[in-house]
Amino acid sequence: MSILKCVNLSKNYGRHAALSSLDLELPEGKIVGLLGPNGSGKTTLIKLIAGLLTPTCGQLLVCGQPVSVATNSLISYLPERTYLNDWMTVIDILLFFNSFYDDFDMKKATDMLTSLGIKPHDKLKAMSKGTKEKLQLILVMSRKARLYLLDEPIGGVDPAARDYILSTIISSYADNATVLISTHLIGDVEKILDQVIFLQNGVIKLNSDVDTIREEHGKSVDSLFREVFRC
Amino acid sequence: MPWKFDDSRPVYLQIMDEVKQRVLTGVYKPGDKLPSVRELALEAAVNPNTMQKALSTLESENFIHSERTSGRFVTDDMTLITALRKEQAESIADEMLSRLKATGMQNDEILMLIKAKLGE
Amino acid sequence: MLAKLLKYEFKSIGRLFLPLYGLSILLAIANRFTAYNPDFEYEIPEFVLMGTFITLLMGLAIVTFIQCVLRFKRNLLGDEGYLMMTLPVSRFDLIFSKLIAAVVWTVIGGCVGLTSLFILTPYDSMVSTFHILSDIFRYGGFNGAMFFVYMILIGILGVAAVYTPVYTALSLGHISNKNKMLASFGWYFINSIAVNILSSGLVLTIEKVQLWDMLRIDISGTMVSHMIFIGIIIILLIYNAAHLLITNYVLKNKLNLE
Repeated sequence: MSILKCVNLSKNYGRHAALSSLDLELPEGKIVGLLGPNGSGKTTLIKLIAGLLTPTCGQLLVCGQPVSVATNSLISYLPERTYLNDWMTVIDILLFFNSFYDDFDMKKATDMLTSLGIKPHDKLKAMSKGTKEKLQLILVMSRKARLYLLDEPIGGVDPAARDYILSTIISSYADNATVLISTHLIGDVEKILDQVIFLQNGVIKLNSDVDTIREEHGKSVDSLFREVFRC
Repeated sequence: MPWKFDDSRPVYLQIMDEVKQRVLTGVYKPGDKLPSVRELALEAAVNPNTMQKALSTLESENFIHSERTSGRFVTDDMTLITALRKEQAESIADEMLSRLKATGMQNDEILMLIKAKLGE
Repeated sequence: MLAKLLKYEFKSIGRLFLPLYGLSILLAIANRFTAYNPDFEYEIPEFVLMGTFITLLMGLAIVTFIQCVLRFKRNLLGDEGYLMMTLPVSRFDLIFSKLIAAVVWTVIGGCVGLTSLFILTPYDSMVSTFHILSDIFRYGGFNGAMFFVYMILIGILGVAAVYTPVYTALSLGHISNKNKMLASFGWYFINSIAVNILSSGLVLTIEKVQLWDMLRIDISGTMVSHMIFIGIIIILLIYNAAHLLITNYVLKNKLNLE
């Protein structure tokens, strides 16, 4: 069944059209890349799916249901920013997630945190930005959701951390779930993607399997991206 | 350590090549049990579906076979492996010869060079 | 879900208020030994201590109000909104948990303030207040007891009525793309005017229709008092409910988190 379905989805801010009549359908069991330059509408689309923005028009369905509080339990969202309260400790935030989300895997989260050397009583206030980002990623990937929305998870992160993030995504793969990753840095991300969507000025320029792109265009997604979005 | 892939060909084809290579070099011995799709995908840093596609295609070529509950195994059909080794050797030889010829060497010069190299 | 949200609320804001409460009680005790102690004759420390105490009490009231309002704004409409609004809880539960926490903290703050004053003043005033209250209760019977119930309910609903229009104004202001704070103030202003118009209209209608004459039943003075109290409570309930419903509608259907 399709995890995500957008029909004629539009979002306007005043006169600026962030997304224009978008049609998109994503099946389950895929890792999909949402690629585009800054300002192309990637974050807007993700926030619309997460229910943090209201569409100007169009339909947005997650697992067949319209986006609402009911779909919040199906979606695990990692925003670009830190949304955690500084006064909390690691164990505080783990218990918070565990109590609100039935599908939160406490053991998986604590295992991952331990392997990174993050201790339960570490305060968020004392953590570096990179560590906080990894913590947020672990929280999001420790849920058994149907749709994972990762907004720029690897932007501004060192290469080792990037590998860690990509490994975490691969190992969390489930064939009844789909991961939507938005990024403007393709490089290594390409190898973990099944499918890519190119977004520019709120319009989908390309929606294709990664293999098809290599077979038809004889080049990597990265190269094709640079071509399509040449300044 | 993520496997290395180039940009020009689909990743699943390159994975198949890498697996075949590992069989030839003995990393995976004939009859060995392969790691699970998820483990291989993690090791190679690729999408599990891509790894699955590569392994399924290798299965259809009889390089590996799967046993329903126990997983995937390298073939122990030596004729297949030997044929692959021969095929690879020939293509490496073809490439080497064409490159040497491109430098302007003649056949007897090439033969002497190879003998010398083998003698080392 | 609401309970979980409340637990989070109290853990979050408690850290600020509890120290303030402790400080206010301490200062009250200190002042007892300085200002209200005939044996203590150093004027400057007396003034300073008393001044600090009064400032603290006023500050407590202001800080409580501002903190509860800011909590709503930051936690639901700021960066933390990315976490809160994606939780599997209804928007109403989010709003209601904020309101309950705000009312509780304000009431506790008020009690701490009163307690501080009691600690401060000579023993007698505290005792006589206590006597008055217990007299009402003991000799008032059912009506006396109901009086307390009404006062408590009006107190709680009244405190809530301070916050609900602010929440509505903040949510409505959030809809604007620019200058959300300015818009919120604007909405608060409009809301106040609207409430004034409505309540004046209500009072005039009651007078015109001569409600009291219509209710030409033989009712005693006590009944009238009960009816008045209940009337006030109902009005406060409607007031709060209306504001909560508007806030809920906006956050559910018009949310656009930056």
